[in-house]
Amino acid sequence: MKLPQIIHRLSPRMQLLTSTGLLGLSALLLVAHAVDVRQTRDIGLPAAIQLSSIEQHISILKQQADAAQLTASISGGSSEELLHVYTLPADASLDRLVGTFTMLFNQLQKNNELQSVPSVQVGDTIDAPLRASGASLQKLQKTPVSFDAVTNEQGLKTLLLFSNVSGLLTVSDALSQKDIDTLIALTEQENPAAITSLEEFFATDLLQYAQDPGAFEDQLMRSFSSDSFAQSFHAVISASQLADVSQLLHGGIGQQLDSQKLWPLRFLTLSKSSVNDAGNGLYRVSLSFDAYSRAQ
Amino acid sequence: MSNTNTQTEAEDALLDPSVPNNVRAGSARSDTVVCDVAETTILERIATPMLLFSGALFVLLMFSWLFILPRFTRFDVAGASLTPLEMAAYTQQQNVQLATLEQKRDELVLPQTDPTYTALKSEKNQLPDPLLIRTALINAAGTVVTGDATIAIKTLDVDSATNVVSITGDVVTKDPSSMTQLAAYIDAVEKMPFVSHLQRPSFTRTQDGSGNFHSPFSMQFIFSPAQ
Repeated sequence: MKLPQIIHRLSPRMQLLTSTGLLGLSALLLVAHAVDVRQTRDIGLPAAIQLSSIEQHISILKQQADAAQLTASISGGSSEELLHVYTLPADASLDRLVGTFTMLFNQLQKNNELQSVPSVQVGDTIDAPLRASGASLQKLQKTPVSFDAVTNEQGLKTLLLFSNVSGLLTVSDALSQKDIDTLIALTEQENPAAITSLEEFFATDLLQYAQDPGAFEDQLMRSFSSDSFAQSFHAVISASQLADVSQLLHGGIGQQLDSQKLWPLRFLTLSKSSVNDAGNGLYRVSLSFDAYSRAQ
Repeated sequence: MSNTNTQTEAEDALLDPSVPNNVRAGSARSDTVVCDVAETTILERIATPMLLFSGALFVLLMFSWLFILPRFTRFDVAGASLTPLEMAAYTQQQNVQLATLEQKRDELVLPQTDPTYTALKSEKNQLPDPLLIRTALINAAGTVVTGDATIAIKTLDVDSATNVVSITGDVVTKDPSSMTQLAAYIDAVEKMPFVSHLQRPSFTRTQDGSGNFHSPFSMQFIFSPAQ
């Protein structure tokens, strides 16, 4: 049966009803067209534009992660060992800590930055629960250590900076998360393959770096050809804590820490500090530290 | 004569039960009858063209929906054709993968992985740094003062347990503007990114034997670490 015959067999009433039904379906289809076009414009196209850069980024990250994993598997382990032996030792013994302060006071006095060698008070070791919680976190203890000293401006800065440095092991420890993110982003832009060089730079021992920063920085720069990376890199480093730390460990203090095998330093936090202007460019300083160790 | 005939036909129609009501009612007013009959006829006549039009429209729209629209609103990604919503979901999925890979890469690039050390280091970074605080306070004192005024910080106490920082000092001027200089210094301290809940000092002015004006101050604030 042909279409005209079918149409003519339908009564006018049925034809009108069918027309109404078809018009209704057409209206639905029109709405669906409009929705589809709007979704394409508002959702699909922005997502498609974003996707190409994301996929490119993912490809770079996969390469970087593979390279970093390879380097980490070759060089890993040594800093972990130093951490457990010296920075967060299992015993709260004080000989090494007191030896470190003695060396520091001697150096300050040698540089005429400290009036007299202060006496160091040591309190009882107590538990030091971390604010963060997790099954992988070990229990810690802390031992209060304090002293009063009279210093000049430079001596005061050295003492305060020393508390910041204590407990840091590598270059990455002296950089903020923001600095690290910036350097990684710069590496991604300039030469993604140089992530291994950056990884080595981050893992550089802080004392070794402080004694010859140029050598380690040059080694990193060899992986980058453009001057823009060097400029941005030096801007990040000079604005970071690493510059101050290098200044502290570059001179006699760094040499003494190395020669007396006092590096790496015990993890210290400054619990209380008081600085009083004593006149004539001198300051009466009272510092209280917490020296951390792992609970047995 | 014709009027009489029309009236008789209308009366017959009214009496005849087989005549539909509308015709019967319309018979009373001859113009209404003509209109109702015409509407039915019109509907009968437009039924077929309307069916053809609506059928053609539906077929065209269905054709467009199935074959034309997908050409412009589908995205070919990784061998699959995705709708805009599927495309957005796929991009989101790729974003999650990107974040995971970034985290993995960052973990591998940084040497320390001991979680206890990382947590302790993070806590240390949140503690007030007397060196940073002192440097910022001295720099602010240097930039705020005008003329030959000086702002000296006499004591600086920092308690890491409570994050309370206490400062005492003195503003010294040769003219009687020491209190104004102190107010400007307090404003500068309050604007520092790590300062919160500043307890403002009281404003006093004294004069020493050599004619200098002094506004000693003592204030406290809570150190709030950068986020």
